[in-house]
Amino acid sequence: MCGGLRAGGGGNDVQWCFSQVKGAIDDDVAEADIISTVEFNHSGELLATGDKGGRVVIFQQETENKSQPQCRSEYNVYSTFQSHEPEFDYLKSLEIEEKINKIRWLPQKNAAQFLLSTNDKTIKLWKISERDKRPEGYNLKEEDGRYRDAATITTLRVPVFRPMDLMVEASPRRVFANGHTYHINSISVNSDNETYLSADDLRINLWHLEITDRSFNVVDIKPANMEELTEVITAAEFHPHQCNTFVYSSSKGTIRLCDMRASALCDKHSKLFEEPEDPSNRSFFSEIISSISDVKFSHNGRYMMTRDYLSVKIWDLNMENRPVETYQVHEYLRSKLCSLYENDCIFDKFECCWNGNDSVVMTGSYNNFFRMLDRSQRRDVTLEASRESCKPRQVLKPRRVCAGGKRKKDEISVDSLDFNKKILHTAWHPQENIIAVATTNNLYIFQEKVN
Amino acid sequence: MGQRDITAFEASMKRKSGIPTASMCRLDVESAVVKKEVEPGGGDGARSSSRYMLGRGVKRKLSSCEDPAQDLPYPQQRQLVLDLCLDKLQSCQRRAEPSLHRSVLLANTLRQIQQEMRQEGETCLPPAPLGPSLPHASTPRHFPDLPPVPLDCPPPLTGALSPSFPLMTAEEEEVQFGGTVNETLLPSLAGEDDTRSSDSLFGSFEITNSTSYLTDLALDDIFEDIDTSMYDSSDISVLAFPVQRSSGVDDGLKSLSSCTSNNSLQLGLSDINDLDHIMEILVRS
Repeated sequence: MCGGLRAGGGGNDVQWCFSQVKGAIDDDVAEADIISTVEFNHSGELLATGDKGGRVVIFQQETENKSQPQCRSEYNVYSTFQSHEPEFDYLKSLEIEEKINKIRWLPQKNAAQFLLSTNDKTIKLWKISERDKRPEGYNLKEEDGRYRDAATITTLRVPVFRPMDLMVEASPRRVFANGHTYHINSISVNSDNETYLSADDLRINLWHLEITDRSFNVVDIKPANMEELTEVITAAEFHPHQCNTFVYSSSKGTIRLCDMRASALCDKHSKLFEEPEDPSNRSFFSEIISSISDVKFSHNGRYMMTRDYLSVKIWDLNMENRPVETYQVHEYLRSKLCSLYENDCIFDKFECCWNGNDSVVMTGSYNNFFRMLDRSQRRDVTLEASRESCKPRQVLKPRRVCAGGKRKKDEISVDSLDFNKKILHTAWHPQENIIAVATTNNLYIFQEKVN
Repeated sequence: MGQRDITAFEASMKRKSGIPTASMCRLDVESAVVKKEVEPGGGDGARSSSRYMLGRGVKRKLSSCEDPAQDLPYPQQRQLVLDLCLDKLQSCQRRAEPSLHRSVLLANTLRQIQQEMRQEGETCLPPAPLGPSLPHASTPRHFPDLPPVPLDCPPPLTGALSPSFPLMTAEEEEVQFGGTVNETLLPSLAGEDDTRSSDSLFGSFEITNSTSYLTDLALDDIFEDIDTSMYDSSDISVLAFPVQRSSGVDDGLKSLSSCTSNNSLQLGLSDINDLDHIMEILVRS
C-alpha cells in the first residue's frame, strides 16, 4: 500500500475513506448472508469472511501498482467455499447451526494457505491452493479423461504441464469433530504453529493440527451439578509469542491467564484479571453488561484488550487488579439498558481489534457505527459504515451521538439509533491502515486517505 | 400454554395469595399495565425476522416504554426486570438455537433479584415460619400438604409439585433457585412437546454425538407409550427403565427388543405410578 503505516500511526491523524463494499446492496437481507466473522491473514493479503450459511469467502488484495502511488489496492474475491453444513442432533432434537463462528489463519509455510474455520461443534482445517498449470498429453488417457483402448497405443508420450486459467481450490484437510459438548465460541492458533485451542461455554481443548481423533482438555469449568452453573467461558486466545500461555474471559467480566507448564489441567489460573465493580453504576444489568464478549492480545504481547457491552479495556499482563485504560464505546446506552434488555440487544457480542502497531483499537456499535480509540493520543472517533458514504475515496465524517438535551446539528439522538444495524465484527490489516467492517450482510473496506 | 398464560397466572397469584406485603400491594396495580407493554424477548421459530431483528428496511427504535420504566419506583422496576427475565428464560427453552451464555446471565439476574426481594421480605415481614413470599415463585410453602400431581393431567397452577421441593433457606439458595425456576416453568411446560428435563435448566445445551447411534435402533417402537420429553439425561433413563438395563449397548438392545411387548404393556398399565415415582425423584435431585 502506498506509504503503509505512518510513524506514530495515530488513528486520529488518519482520515478514513471508503474503498469498497461487498455484498448485496438491497435491504432485504438473506439470513444465510449474515456475516459472522472477519479475519485478515498474517500478511494482510487475504481477507476471509464467514457467514451464517456456513460459507467462507476469501478476498485477495491486488498487487499494488507501484507506478501509480495514488492507486489503491483493492480486495477481490479469491475463493468461495461451503465450509460447514447444518447437522441434526437426534438425541436433543436440535439443529446444529452451520454458521461460521470464527476463522483463524495459519501462518503461511508454503505456497498454499491454511485456515481454521469453526461452527458450534466442529473445527475444520482448509487448504487453499492455486492451480495455474495442468498436465496435458497423457499416454493412456484422452484429453477428456477416458481411457484409450490399449490396443491403439503404439507410442510413448510423457504429459507436460501447460498453463491454464488460475483456479483456486479449497479442500478440507482435517476435520476436528466431537471435541465439544457445548457451543464453540473461540479458536486460536498457537505460536508454535503445531497446536491450537478451541473453547466452548465450559471447556477449552488443545488440539494438534495433525491429529483429529483426540484433543486434550485444558480447562473445564463445568460444575458437577449444572444447576450451580453461574459463569461461562466467552472467549479464549493464545499469547502471540509464549506458546505456553493463553487467556480466557468469562461472563462475569473476569479474565484468567493460564500457563500450561504449571499443570496439565489449567483449572487453576496463573493470573486473574478483574476490576472491582463501580458501586455507583450498579443496576440489575450490571452482571450482564460486564460479560466479556471478546479478548485479544496486542501484537507485542504485553497487553490484552477486552470488550464488554459498554466499554473496551486494555490490561497490562503484569497488573491484575484493574485495566490500564478504559474506553467508553457508547456510554449513552447506560440509561437505556432496560430497553436493550427487553429487545435482547444487551446480549449482543461485539468484537474488537488492534491496529498493527497496537496504538489504536477498534470496535463496533449500533446504527452501523464503529469506534476508533487512539491509545497514544487519548482521542476517539465514531465513524459510520453506510451506503450514503460509498463514493470512491469519500472521506468518512465523524459521527456524534447526542445523549440528551438539545441535539446539535449533525448529531444523532440516542432514540433515533437503529439497533438492528449492529457492527459486531471488525478487522484491521496487520501492517497497513486498511480496515474491514462487517455490517449485517455487507463488508465495508476502508483505507487511509492518501494525499 | 404460552407466555400469555403465565402472565395471567402471575397476576392471579398476586391477588389470591394471602400474604400481604407492602411491595405486593404496589405491584398489584402496576404490573398489569406494565405487562401489556412488555413484549417477550426472542420470537418464535428459528428464522423469524423478529428474532434477528432484521428490519427489512424499517428502522427499529428503542421501545418507548423505556421512559416509563425509568420513572417507576425501584420495586416496580425490579418487578419489570423479573418478569422479563422469566419470559426470556422460558423462551430460551423454545429457541432453535439455545444459548447457554444467555441462559446463565438470565438465571443470575433472576437469582439476584429474588435474593434481594427475599431479603427485603425478611426485614419487613413478621416472622413467618416458611420464609418470605415471592410473587413469582409457585409458592410451595403456602401449600405444603398437596400431594404430588400425576403427569398425565395438567398440574394445577398453584404449583402443587410442592412437597418434594426443599424449603427456601439462604443456605440452600442454589438448590432453591433451581427449584424456583423449575416450579415456574413446569406448569407451563408440562404437556408441551418440547419440554426439557425439569432438573436441568442448563442440561439441555449439550450437543451429543448421537448422529448414528439412534438411527440403528427402532426406538420409536420401544418408547411409543411413554412421554419421554421430560427425560433427556442418562440418569433419568436408568431410573425409568431399571429392569431392562444390562451391560453393553448390544445386550441392552436385545433385551429391549425382546421385552418390548411386555414392557409396553406393563408401562401402559403402571404408567401413572411409574411416572409419578420418576417425577418425585426428579424434583428431589
